[in-house]
Amino acid sequence: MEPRQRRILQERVGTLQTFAWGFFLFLAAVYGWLQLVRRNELQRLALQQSVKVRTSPAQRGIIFDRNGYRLVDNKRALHLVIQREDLPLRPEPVEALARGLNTDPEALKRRVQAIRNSGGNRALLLADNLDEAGLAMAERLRARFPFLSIVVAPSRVYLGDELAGHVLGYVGEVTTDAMLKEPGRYQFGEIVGRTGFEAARNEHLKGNDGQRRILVDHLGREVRLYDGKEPNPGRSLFLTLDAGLQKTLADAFAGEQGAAVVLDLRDGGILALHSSPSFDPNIFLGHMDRQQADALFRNPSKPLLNRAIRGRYPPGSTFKLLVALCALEKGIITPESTFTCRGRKTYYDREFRCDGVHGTVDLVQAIAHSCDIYFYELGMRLDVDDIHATAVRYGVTELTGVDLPHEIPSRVPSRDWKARTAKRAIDRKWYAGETISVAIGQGQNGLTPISLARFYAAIATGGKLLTPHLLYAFRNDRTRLPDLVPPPAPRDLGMDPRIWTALDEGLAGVLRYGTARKAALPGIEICGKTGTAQVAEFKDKAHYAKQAKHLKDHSLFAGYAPRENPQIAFAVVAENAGFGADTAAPLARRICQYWFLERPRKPLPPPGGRIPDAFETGPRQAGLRPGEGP
Amino acid sequence: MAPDVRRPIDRALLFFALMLLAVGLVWVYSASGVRSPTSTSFLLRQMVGGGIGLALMLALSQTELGFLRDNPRPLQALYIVSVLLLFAVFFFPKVNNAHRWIRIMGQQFQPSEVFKPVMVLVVAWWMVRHQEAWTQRQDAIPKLLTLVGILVVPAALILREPDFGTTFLLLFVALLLVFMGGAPKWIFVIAVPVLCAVGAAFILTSPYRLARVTSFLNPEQDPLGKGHQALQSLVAVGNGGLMGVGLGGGHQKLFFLPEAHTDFIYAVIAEEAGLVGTVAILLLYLGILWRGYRIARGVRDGFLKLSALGLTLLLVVQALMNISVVLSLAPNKGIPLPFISYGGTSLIVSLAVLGLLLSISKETG
Repeated sequence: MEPRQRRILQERVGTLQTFAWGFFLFLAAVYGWLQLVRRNELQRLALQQSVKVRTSPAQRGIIFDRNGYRLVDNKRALHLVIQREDLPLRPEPVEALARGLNTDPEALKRRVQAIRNSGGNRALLLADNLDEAGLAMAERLRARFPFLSIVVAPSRVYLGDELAGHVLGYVGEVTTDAMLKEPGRYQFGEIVGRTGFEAARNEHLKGNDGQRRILVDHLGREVRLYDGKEPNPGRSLFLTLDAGLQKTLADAFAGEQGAAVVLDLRDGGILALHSSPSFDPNIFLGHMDRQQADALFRNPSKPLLNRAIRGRYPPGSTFKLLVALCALEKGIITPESTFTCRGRKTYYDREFRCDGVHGTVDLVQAIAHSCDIYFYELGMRLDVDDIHATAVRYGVTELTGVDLPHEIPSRVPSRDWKARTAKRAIDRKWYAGETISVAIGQGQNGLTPISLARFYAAIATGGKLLTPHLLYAFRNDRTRLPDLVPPPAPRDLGMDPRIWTALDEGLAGVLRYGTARKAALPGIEICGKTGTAQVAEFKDKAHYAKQAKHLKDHSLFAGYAPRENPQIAFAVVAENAGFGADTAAPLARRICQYWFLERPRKPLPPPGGRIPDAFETGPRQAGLRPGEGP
Repeated sequence: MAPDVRRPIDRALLFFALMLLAVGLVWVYSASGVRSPTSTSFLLRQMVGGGIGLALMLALSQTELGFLRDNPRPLQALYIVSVLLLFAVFFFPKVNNAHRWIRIMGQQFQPSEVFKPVMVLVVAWWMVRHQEAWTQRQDAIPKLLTLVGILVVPAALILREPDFGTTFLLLFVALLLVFMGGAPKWIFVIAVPVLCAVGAAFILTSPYRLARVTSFLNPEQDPLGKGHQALQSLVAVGNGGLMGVGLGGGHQKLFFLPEAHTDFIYAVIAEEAGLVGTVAILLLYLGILWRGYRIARGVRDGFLKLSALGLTLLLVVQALMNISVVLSLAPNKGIPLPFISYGGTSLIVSLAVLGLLLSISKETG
């Protein structure tokens, strides 16, 4: 090479070298900028597209009865869904899918849009709780529509079917209303208790959902787990309910409508709570067909209504105890005071009748024979506000505080109440004649069975106001034993023991020689009061006999047993079932017969011992826990 | 026979190249595992290519390239063979919408890759052979036009495949060789604007090429469409941060990057090894550039000097082009990263180029 060329070459290589070095530096700077300065922003983009969040639903707590019998369990259910990121963007596949599923394409498109707009990572549920046939169908559809997924999710199973539908309630996706009421509390599509105990103790039962973050490829297919948080299962718990008693009660109702509540007098625990007709919560878990929906929602018997806490019934003669209490506590009568019953009497220019001609009766006889005249006389001497005040004092008008949602308070009228609620001005004034009706439990009185039971529990305990409750114990997740929850403390009403003695005597008389003597149970002395609540007024018995069932009187019975050392209190209402002594009193007797005579008392494991699985899952049985025996 | 006075090969150059090769094998495995049925099928094929390439490199490092200076027949033969091969690609079916490959007995290779070193040697030979002409304008013009004639046929064939990236690379390296070979400066005053104008016209007349350029200018504009690759590649780079997410831990290779194991392997490295990795690899290429210049400076013979520069530039310019594409500083032209990207022909040719450089390195002193 010539020297001149060599010089030119060296010179030009030098130029090029400068450029090359400059370019290398520039590239390094750009990489530095991207990887240090813009890192967070780009990392967010990377994670956004390649890491998807999947919720791992927590196992809901299992619900046992007080003896460890499993009332609610979990199962694994298969659902056909479209994961959110798999939702088809174009309408054609959705329409084709709708044809495959035999559903309305427009409705499905709307649901797809709703999920897409919703945020979060909720999947679109197409078919739930797939059975064998459903699974086969789902697999066939998945072959045609690869964006479908079949997911496994825990689901509820209510083992007793209709046994305690109203107590347990059911679960479902959180409603929009609930989400709007408490923003931020629920996640879209979260499974929550919708009614019953499932709703009341949702916070305990639900646990905390886990999260799996998975790495996906560009088509959203799972490549591997990115990271995750394990779900925290909900707390399993024991109800105060005794499945055996509940079953006995439900069977005893045998087609009658109504409700019954049985309380444990030691602590206010609800041993049985039945509302008839009941319903099967399992129906709410899966797809409900038209017939099932109609049977629940359009049924005139309203099976979804929990009559025990939401049914207000005129208490009839069961209310006389409260009137007697009022009169005794105000000193208007003593237990020895007598009135004379001639079968009928005129008050305020209107004739009132009694069921019989009882002659001269004292308080005990008046209660035992349910003499209306005696209580009309009390009604004459008492103001309605006095009766209302006693009702307030004995907790009848307040919510009982039971751990079930949507309880309504009982209603005992007062002047103030009438002035507030009457529609017409003329109706706002209280008339003394109305007090006469109130005194025998008619008029505007409306008591829920649970508050009636609580009132009789207060009498049984000599003035202890208990709080009916269902939560008995949490299951210790390690030892699987119940950790007992302290019961709500009772309120002492300061009842005069002499008054109590008179009332107790009267209530015992009801079954010894009074209105419910046929319901007496040999071996166990029951105390109670019948009630026959008028639904409509009739001229005479012949007229009444001709009426349609739904106009007939409600049959009530409330009381406690056994008389010596009472253990349970109860209230039974059978709608349109005639005299209290005819239907409700035998039901109460059935309760006592089971609880005191038939209930199996098998030996239980010693305290601290583990509840055996066989016992939990075995056939329905009832028993007492250690230290609980009568 | 004269005693062998040649020096040993440039060990530093060999080291840098082998480092790049090793990095390449690691990340071909990492980037292709998810798209390979056995997870190692791409790696194994790359290893076969590497083996052939290393053998070829060893063989070529033993040759004496200076021999060609006075006996250009083999060079001419190589040129003709490679041009014929470039013709032949059009008789094979298109792959990915382009006639780039010749497929014989299940094996395929890319003649445009083979042509790269041939072109460098041809241009170097021509520039040195006619070095006297460059001082005289009346001599320079016909010589240059002849060179243009020599290059225009293969360049047009490669462009026709179409392979715009390789064409650009070839012409750019050729232009640099002409520049360094001593061609008068006024030629560049004319040639550079003319080439730019031709290139611009070429891009503007084709919507496909225009789309690639516009997407490179603004990748975020249409992230799901044409700018997709560009944005995904930036996301990969940025996600790497300083230290990277760890070998094999990258997300972007899960098909978010369309050509993770070939054109965008540097993005995968950037994600998994971070800034440390990207700068380390830049330094390795810088090392190749450095050793290449040293060889060119150390060798006496003009032809070898220019060949060494051309071969070095072939590797380094291609690497810089690829790395720029990953940054979306340049449109994606399907240029592999030398020694690293998956692709047998590219790897073998890169190693062959290395072999030629090593053989020249023995002539220094």
